[in-house]
Amino acid sequence: MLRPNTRTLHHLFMQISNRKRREYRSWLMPLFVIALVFAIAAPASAQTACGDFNDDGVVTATDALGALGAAVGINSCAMSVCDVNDDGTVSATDALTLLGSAVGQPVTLDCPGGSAAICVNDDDFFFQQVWSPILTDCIACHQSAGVAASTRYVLTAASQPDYLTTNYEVIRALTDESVTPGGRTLFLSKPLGVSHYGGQRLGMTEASTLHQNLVELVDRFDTPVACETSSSADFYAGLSNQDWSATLRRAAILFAGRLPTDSERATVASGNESTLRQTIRSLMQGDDFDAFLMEAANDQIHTDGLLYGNMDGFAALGSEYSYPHLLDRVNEAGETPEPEDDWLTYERMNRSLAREPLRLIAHVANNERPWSEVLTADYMMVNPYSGSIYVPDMVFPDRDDFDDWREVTNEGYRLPNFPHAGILSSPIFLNRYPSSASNRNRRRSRYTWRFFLGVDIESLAPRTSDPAILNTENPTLNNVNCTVCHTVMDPIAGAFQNWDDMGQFRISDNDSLPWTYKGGDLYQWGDLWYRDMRSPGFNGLVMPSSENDHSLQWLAAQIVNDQRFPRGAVEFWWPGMFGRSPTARPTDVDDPSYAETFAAWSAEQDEIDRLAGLFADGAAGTAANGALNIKDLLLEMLMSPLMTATRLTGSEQGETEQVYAGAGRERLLTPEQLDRKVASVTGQVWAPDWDPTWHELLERYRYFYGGIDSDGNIARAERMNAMMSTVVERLANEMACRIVVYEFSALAGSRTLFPYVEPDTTPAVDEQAFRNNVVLLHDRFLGETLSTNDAEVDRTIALFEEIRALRIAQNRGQFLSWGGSHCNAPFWQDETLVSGDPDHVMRGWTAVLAYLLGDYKFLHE
Amino acid sequence: MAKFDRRQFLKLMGMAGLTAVAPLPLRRAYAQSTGPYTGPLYVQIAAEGGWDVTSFCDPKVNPGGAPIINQWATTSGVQTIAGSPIEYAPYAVNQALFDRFHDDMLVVNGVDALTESHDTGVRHNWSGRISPGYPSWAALVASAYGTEMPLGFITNGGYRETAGLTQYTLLGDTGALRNLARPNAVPWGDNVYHEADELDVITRYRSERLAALRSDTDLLPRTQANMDALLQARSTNNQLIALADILPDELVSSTDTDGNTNYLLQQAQLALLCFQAGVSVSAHLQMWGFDTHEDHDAEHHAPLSMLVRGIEYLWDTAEAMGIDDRLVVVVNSEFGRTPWYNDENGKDHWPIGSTLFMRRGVDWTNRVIGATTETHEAQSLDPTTLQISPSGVRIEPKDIQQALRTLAGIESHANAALFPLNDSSFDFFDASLGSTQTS
Repeated sequence: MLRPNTRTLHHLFMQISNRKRREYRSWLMPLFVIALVFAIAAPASAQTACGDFNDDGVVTATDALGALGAAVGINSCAMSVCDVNDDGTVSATDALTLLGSAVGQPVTLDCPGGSAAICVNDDDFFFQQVWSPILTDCIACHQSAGVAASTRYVLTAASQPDYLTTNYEVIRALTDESVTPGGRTLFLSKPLGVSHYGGQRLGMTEASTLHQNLVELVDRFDTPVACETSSSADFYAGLSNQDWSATLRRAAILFAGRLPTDSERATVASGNESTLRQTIRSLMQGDDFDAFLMEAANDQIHTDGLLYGNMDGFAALGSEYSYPHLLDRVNEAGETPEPEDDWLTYERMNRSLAREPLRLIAHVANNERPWSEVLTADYMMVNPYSGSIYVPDMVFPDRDDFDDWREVTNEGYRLPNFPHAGILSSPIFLNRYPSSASNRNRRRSRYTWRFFLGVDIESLAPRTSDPAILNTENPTLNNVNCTVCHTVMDPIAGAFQNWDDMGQFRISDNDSLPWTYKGGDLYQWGDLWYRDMRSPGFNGLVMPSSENDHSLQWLAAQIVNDQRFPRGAVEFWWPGMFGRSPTARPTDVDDPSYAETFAAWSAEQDEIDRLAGLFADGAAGTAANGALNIKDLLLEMLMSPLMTATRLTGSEQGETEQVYAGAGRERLLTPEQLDRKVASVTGQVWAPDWDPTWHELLERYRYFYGGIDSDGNIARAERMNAMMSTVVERLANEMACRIVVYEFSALAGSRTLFPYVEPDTTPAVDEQAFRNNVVLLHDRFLGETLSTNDAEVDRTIALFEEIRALRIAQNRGQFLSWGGSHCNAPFWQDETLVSGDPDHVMRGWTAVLAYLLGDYKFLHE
Repeated sequence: MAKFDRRQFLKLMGMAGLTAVAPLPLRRAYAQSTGPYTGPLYVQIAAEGGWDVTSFCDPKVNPGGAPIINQWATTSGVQTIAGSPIEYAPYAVNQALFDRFHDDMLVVNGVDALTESHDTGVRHNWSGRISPGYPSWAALVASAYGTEMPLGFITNGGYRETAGLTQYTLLGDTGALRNLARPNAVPWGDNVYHEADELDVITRYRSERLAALRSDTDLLPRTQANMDALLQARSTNNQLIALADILPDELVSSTDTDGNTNYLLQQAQLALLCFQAGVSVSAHLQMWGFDTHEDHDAEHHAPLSMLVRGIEYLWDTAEAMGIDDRLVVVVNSEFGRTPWYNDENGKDHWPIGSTLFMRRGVDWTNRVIGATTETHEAQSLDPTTLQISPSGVRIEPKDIQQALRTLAGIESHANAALFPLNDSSFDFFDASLGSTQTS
């Protein structure tokens, strides 16, 4: 047993206000003494009431004593019993509150998990306590395609817009005796198994919590409960937000792969929010913005799997039968005497092919086109390499210019009139999500829903009630356990009817149905789709047969006009902006943290809706570029209170782990982002001298640093682990001296990192200049704005001095290029590089840069 | 409002004097080392895509009057092993697994995953909960035993939810691994970038600054967690030198004895090397290719064979290293496959599956728990006797996960308590209960 610490006891006592000390002194001091002498074991009971430490059914001074013992560590007591003010801790204050209660004072005992009254409005109650835990079970049968479709209780699936409102009204009508006589009784008795075809559901009895939830719902129809509503902004109002300069820095690193310029900083510092928005928007251009767009988009659609995975872009196009000019340029390269030309050409062509869908996204964004064009584009993107396949007659000004991307229509396929539908008809997208004769494009449908409408079909009905039910004829069409998803999934699958398993358009000229099906009884000449599946369509709408030749174009038009489309876009870009997926909807009401998680999820949903609304209305970002503008959406997301939150305020410190778990965008940089940041901040890339294009973070250490291959490995590491930390150490060790050497080899006026000091400047020589330079380094590397006498500046200078002193004491080498520890600068290649370091100043700075390169704030943004 | 969350749990721990106000990873990072870990080593192997256990450890012949379950059953019968209740299908290279390892194996059949969705099935089977957020068993184990290890939980893809309790690490090529194990060493020659004492100074200043940043009580939870992760990572990464010392220049060939390209071999080798070096305590290995909706018999053959060869290699290598007696292995999949063929001669998703537990030198192996009907529907068991009972309950993934927690001795661990599974009363490891009788 732990011994009480008298200093702690005294400290706790002194924390209580003088007034309360006086008020309770006569009670408290004896309790402290008793608490020191006795340790009381709390009875183990899950039902123990709040405050009733000894579980004897009444709150007395003994319970206060028990709580006090828990506060000082000599007893154990559950938070649900002893944290009577629900502040997240058991302290002397709880003991005092209990004491007050024991002597009859009018105090409220409010333990976590207790029954303190919290206002939950009807909408939240319905979603939180009825829909999630109960109705998601009912809907397996009680839906339009279910076996209970003919009843008065037909629910709408979560994939449908406004499903909550719709379902709420369905139940309200069902239980309104003036509308449905007897309906209330039926609604409450059926799940108990009374005259219910589906029997008892979810183990419900009249006494069970779930059934009580249904009763309360019905009561709420009679007596609505309205609480003060709060917007997502209110939810995050308790957090402090970053200043504009920090927002600008984040935007510059994220969108432009660099630090903001002095001019940009000055503009923002002297302007208003509109200025900030305009400045950030001006960062959204160039190669690094393209890289951001494509990386963020690829983190969703993972088409780079054809760059790094088992299949490549050439394989996705099939053979020269499908694309007669598929290998023309590779063969041409093969005829040159340089064998590396073959490989280089193949690599560039493959990269050009694989990147086509991501280039389309970047193209749409860069040209201020609406997000809908990602699906409706009647063109594809090619450069001179992929153009040689898709548009063999096209002439580019420079056939080796990899970055010359253009809109074209696919004329290289063996059939004419290729029906473009943006990404949906991309051979790369179709091969990243291949189909099969039994899958029948369902995978493509599933990901179309997820990527562009924000609907995760698999989450619609993760449970099946009885596996034996699957043993039915064509279960996806006829079995309610399957139809809940397949009603949603299969029509879109049908809209992919013209593409075969590997993305070939009408592989047999007339259709893309597999021979295994066409050899069966169901197939009839002229069919494009399976007769034993739902017809091509979308969201309950059957595609007109007149659209058969352009089914994906028809589908794209439906999707972009669906009200979920803007929301889907917000969710699409969410991980790229926030460094995490949207918070998953909590589903387990028995989860101890359900309430907190639900609150966080709900607030985030509000924020997603707000962003989607602005995006759809053309009011996002700078509100000057029309509806569905991607740059404006990204800007609006960057300005979201969820993203700009940086710190808790004092009042919010007890509400952290679950409630604000998603707040803030401080994230571990990806290998790609860290690679760009290193180059931008230091002017040097981390790459071997023999190949500056072989960036270590993108090649050798890519996966060790949490990178993905978009094939088998698609989840980015969100936090540092031991292995990743060694990558950082190697980066810092290899790069620090190199950066210092390059910097001091340049003239002072052209130095980025050391403009105020020379290779012989120490704090003793010119302390002000030295401090100014340290301030600059902290700003540049870490985004910290410090005064020259800040403690962190002192710390950095102390490091510098300690290293110097150590080297001098050890009489270590005074040259960087030879002797002693290795400095990774190419002295052998460039004789102009500074090598002499007689005062160990450059070694001192090397240590400082290694320190900064490995700093938390350098690795996170 | 229920607020007994992890944060408050930590506070409670703090009040009890176990930690100040430091969150769990921080506490771990500063934990006093108790010497090299000598306890069990945990491996979970996922057969990704949904395996066909009717052609593996829960063999089914073809019932009369019903669709054919297995083509092999038209010419062969269920294979039995003398002195063992374990049966297997004469398919792929099953014989190599069951004939050799039945004494080291507990088979649990009739596990109802309650889903046919891949993601949900993976999550359900490896966390015990169908909803998101619960940690993988391997992560939970690492959070209990691997807190001082730099690569406590290593993985090769698949389900790797850590729920913030620990970190996972993906492993890659060994040359780079060696560089990272000694990040201050110049890759060629024997020089270093910083003299050791200078590096110590840099490291000390980094730690002091990070501690100063972390002491800010207004940090967002996300920032706190990120800082804690960095601190924990740095506090353990120097142990990687032990791994570098035993890393071979080249990993084992990825071509197995059947001529298949089998990456499970290298996954197993790296996991065992990490175990041997004392840098890991749990590993998730992954075998892909089981989602055979078409041409099932031909397509399922290779991944199942590779799975068996991988398990063989795992035990052989562990034996050679002298750590086979510490190995705890569980083999599982997200669900099973239909007990009939579809129009493409494939088999679709079926929620009923099986789990293999493997361990040497214990009394609970060479048994079969659970049962399915002749058409592979799960049978209910009496949890107290483990015998078929109409009034009993079906085995679900939560029961498997609870058993795994018990097996690892973490069923009462504070981290496990944060992610409670519904009360599971099956005691698969009570050898006195024998096997489930099916006839």
